[in-house]
Amino acid sequence: MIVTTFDPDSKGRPLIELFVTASVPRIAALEALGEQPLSPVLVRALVDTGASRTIVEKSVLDRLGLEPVGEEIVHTASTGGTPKRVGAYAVQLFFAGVPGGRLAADLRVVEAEDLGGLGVEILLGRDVLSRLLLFFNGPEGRFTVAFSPSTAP
Amino acid sequence: MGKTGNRQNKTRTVKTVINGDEKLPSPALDRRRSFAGFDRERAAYERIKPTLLAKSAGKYVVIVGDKVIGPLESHAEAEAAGYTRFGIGPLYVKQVLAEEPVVEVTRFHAT
Repeated sequence: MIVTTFDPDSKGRPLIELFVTASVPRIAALEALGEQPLSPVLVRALVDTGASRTIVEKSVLDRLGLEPVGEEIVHTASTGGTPKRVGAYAVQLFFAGVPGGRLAADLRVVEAEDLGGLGVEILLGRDVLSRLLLFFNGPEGRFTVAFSPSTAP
Repeated sequence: MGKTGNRQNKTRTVKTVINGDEKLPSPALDRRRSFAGFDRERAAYERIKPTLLAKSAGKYVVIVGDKVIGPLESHAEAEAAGYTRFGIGPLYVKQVLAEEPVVEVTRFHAT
């Protein structure tokens, strides 16, 4: 079990630095061709219990050279009564600065055109949060995360 | 150009076994495919969904065009089978469920 504590950002938000890279099956397929996957991308992830799934900004997926592995029906504050179809991508997530800290080996995430207004590249949803313990110490303004590293799928 | 040309000329023969004994044709693994939307794949899935629900609910299929691989046990297994069969490019991986799940996100705008 890995336990790590972090401070919120200047706005009091729980931000975690993560590395995102291609899924294990995609890396294996690339390596079978004698190719190397593109380098992992360091991102800022906002812990978001209001998101049922993890959302990744399209620019990050493009930097990883990924293509979609399907689509998801998404309902947001802006979609009203008509949910939208949005691209789904498979990735791995690693806790930055934590050796062996793989949060997910084959996570199906949902693309977002732009999360720039929030100053983050990922909304870390309940699909990932359900794999870990998250403790918010309000009086001290600190967050603690405990998780067991994900193994290969 | 030299390196690109070499890669395009390279072919690789792969055999995949699905459900124990079905051998698929040998694909060219490095045939890159572009993304043109999932209209065909969505329609293909809807055609076979009743049959899949009856026999393989909860499992996964992977579709490219009208071609379907599966059922498979996990998303990762479906991805791997898809890349082996169709090469690097977009895949339509679908879990066989009676009701399509809806992703709920309170703070981002789907455009």
